[in-house]
Amino acid sequence: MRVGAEIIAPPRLLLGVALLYWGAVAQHPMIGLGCAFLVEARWWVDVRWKFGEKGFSRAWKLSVLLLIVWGAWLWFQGESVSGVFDLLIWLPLLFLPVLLAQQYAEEERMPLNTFSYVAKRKMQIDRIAGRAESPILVHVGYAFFCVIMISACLADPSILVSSIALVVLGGVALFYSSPLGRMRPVSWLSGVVAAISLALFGATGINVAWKMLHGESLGLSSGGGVGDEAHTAIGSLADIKLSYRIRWRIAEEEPGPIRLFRTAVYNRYGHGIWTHRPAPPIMLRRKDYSDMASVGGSDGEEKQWAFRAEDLQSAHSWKGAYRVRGEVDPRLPTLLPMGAGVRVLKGVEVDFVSYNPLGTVRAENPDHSVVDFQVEYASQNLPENEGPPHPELDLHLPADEKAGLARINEELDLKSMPDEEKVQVLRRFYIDSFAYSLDLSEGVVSGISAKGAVTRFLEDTRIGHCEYFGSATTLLLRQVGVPARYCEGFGAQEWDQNRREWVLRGIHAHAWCRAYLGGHVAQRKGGDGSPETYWTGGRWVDVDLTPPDWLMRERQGTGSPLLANVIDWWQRFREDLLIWRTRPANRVLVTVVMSMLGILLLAYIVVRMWKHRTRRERIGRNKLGHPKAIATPLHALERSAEQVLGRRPVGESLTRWLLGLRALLPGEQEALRTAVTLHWKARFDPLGVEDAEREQLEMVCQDLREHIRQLRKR
Amino acid sequence: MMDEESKNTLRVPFLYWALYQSYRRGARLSFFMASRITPAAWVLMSVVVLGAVLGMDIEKSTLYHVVVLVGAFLAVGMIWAWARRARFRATRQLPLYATTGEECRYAVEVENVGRGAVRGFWLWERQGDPRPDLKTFAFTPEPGEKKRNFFDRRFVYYRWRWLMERRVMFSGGRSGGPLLLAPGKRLHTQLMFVPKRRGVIRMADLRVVLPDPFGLFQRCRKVEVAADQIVVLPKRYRLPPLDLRGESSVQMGGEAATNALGNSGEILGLRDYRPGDALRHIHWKGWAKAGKPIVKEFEDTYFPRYGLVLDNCVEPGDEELFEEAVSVAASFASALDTKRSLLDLMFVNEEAIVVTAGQGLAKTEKMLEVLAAVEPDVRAHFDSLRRLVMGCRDDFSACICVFSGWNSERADFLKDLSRGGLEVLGLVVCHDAELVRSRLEAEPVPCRCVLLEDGKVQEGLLRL
Repeated sequence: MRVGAEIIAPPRLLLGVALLYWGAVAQHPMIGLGCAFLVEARWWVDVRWKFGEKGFSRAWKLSVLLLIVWGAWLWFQGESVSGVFDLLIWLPLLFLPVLLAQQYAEEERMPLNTFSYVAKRKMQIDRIAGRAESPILVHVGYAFFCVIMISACLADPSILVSSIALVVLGGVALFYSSPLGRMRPVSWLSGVVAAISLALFGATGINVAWKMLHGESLGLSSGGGVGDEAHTAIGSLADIKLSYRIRWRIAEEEPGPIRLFRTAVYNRYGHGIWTHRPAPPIMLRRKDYSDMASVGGSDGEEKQWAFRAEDLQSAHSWKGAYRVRGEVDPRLPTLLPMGAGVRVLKGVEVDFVSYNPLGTVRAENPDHSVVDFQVEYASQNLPENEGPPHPELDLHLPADEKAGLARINEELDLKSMPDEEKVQVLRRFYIDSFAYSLDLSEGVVSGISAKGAVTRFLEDTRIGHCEYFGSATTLLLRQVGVPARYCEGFGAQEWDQNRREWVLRGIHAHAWCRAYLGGHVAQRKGGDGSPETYWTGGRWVDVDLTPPDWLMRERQGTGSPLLANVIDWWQRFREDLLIWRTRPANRVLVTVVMSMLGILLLAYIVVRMWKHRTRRERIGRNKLGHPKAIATPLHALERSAEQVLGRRPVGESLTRWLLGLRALLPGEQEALRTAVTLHWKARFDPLGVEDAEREQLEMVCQDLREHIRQLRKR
Repeated sequence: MMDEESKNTLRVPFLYWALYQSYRRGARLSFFMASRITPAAWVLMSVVVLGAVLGMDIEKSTLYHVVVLVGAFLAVGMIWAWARRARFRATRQLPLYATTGEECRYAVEVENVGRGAVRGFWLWERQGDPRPDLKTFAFTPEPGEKKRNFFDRRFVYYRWRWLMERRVMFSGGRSGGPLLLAPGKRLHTQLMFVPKRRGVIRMADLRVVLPDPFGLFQRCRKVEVAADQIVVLPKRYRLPPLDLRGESSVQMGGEAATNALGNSGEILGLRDYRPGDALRHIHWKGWAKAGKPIVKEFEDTYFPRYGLVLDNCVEPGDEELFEEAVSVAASFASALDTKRSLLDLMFVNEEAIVVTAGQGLAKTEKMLEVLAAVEPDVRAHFDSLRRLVMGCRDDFSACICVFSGWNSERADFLKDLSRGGLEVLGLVVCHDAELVRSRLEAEPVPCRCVLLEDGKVQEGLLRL
């Protein structure tokens, strides 16, 4: 048994305030207000229900149903594992039926096995078998309070606000739940101060440990946004497993010439990491991004985005178009798969689309977790989209790779060849002497060497995956003076004839080189009048020299085709449904149907509840809403009696509790009996007590108080 | 279920030994933790675990603040509770009896013999270790165990729980609080408990509970106190006014016991004094006339004598029925007017036992004490009971027989008992009244037989 520590109900307003706080930080203040009102209204209304085990169980089932429906909804929305957090943020709302059942029940507590189907079933079996079963009874108030605080913390990343709310609300909860809180406030306060100090120390420690573990102190991850930094597996031991999941679907009437869809382009390499380095004078990567021009977006009009505003203003006849559809994470910027020559994006339902001069295009704050848009393209990229080579950045070589790259180029004699021939020689070189593998086990890349990882790949191991081939090609071309960049994206390999679309899966993720072929360096006057060199005369070309069997190797071990088909079907269905549902024409229909279902369910519950309501016996109340009970001198005796009897247990009547004094004051049994009789008469007899009886009661209580005082002295 | 002798001769299977060790240790740990960790602390510990799992990425949420703050409260609470000290001495003032299912309060005088004041504490009367011994665990099946699923039958965890529950004598046992006691001072407080079953409760482990300021953890320190015990009487039911044959009357040839007690009727005559005659019966005038002691001779008083037969021969699995039967017997024992009648309680426990109450022989409380200690007997001793009752049949005005369960042997017994014209009331406590009723219809008995279904005993008794 637990002594003196039963879980009791939270004090008035605590749950309401906690719900208001949750609503505020979850950015749904009206929902928080509504929940708080429903929870706290139990103090002002007399309507009650006799739920019993079945009623509580139904409330729990309703909560579970809401949880499942909400979870399914999020899943349909395309939420990934991180969607669990969204679900948890809504837990106070989803578990509200249980709390309301608790608040408005005639029973003070609910059976603990309400929350376990197995335990409930077990109890039923035991009862049928004639075995006596008495479930543990609990009040869920404080547990619900914990749920609210957890959800609020998940919703609010602000450390200051959440810390203050946690300390204040948590402190109030602990004060009222603690049996010693009011008896020893100084001790309680000291404990709180000690705990807060310890928590501050702990939180600081966790912060420091987190930063150390994630290398923030070394500056490795500082400033790296989506599309600005690629940590490749070059130089690492790894057996790379790629997902068979569909990432993008690109529909076009006839499979066009585009085979590579890049999502990010980088221009700086070092120690296995490719980064986007802005050209001076721009120093910060985010400053290197420009917003695309846009039109539409209001009154259901389709949003259109273009690199140049004039492309949106007049009707152009572009070379071709294709439609892109895929799942995105609404919390992060999304890298859009771009083929060559992109001019206009139609129907991208996002707040911003930005691009950098390397050709990376990213969308921010998508309206939904699936984007669906049309891409119109011309024969060549615009200079805005893919700027000319930078004389230094696009020819930069890392120091530890320079010597090795020079040796290979010398061996292949690349320098003397025209650019196209260089590419052909490199292609032949890779096909003849290299092997493609995702399994870079020990022995392939191990060993300490002064050579860079790319040099070791080119000279020693000669086995690797697309990141090796893409990086090596980029660096080899740079070494012979051809500006080159490293691209990440997808290789379109799977054409779905029935749906007329390219399917880009995780296994199609690819890396290659984008080289500026046929160009030469020229000089011109800069802004300040000094001469500056620039590249001209060439064009950016995808140079993918990974051996062509790479896809076949990556497809190995993708599991059961039947299961893969089912997963594909489900993913397509979910994405297509979401797109259908969010189209302006369908949005109203879906909203009406869902609202009707919700209202019907709510109406059903309300009607049923209303039919079975009961009323709490209301005692007259004063202006503050406190019960207006008739006070007698016996009430004043309670404080004295507490000194010898301890605090009156919750639910025990005053007279019954005071009669416990009979054991301690055997000589005052008659006086006690008289006091109790007169007390009852004063409170419950419609005629009340005479003045003489009131005086007698006062005298008896006075005597009893004196006897208690003497008892304490003894 | 089997008796102690049979249990001692049997070898416990290894599985049961292993399960016993596991359950025994688990129960000890569980009790230790439950005594020191409050439900509030369990809730907070769950929050820490949940928060640690969900809030691992501190950049995505501030949940780790909840984890560290709650963890800090738990740590402070644990250290605080561990650091609390108290040295108490106490004296209990226990009543003689308590009744099953009824709240019992008793006073405790506690003295702080330590050096410092103790602020915020409770007293807690802990009961003895409820864990059964290995043989009992291995060879005492839970009622209805055969109906459980294979897993439960194999691992008998519910049997363990049932045995533990059976040995828990009371619930509660705590004082009001929190209390405060200065060093060297005494405090009178009272503890309340509700006995869960009849018998003798030995109280030997009074503890002072010292919680931390947050009410998360608590320390349990032993209080110096002498061991004590209290008899828990069986539960009693309300009975309607009984109309049994026989009234107190004055007539010749009555009960010898009445003479000894001096409850006499009219004067029949005078006679010479015989040693042993009461002085108050001396006829002083006669002595003066005759010159020798003369005493008054009274007619004997005859009191109705009732038999209360408790059938304690119980089928395995019917122990709960037996408890109800004891309660029914106790209800009659306390309801019958023993000032105007005698009541013989009869049952068999190793040997035939008869306890008579009324007319100064013994008080009703004595009979209830006996009923508090009566044990079910699973061996077939019904013949002994039958012989015992038949031997006394002629002395009774009426006989009440309380059976736990029904069979043809009991039916025959009632037939034999009723044969001489004795008024017999049979009370059958059973699981399924319909089943017993159909048996009684098939094999009727020549007396009134009331069926008391388990769980509806009070309703059945009120229909008497």
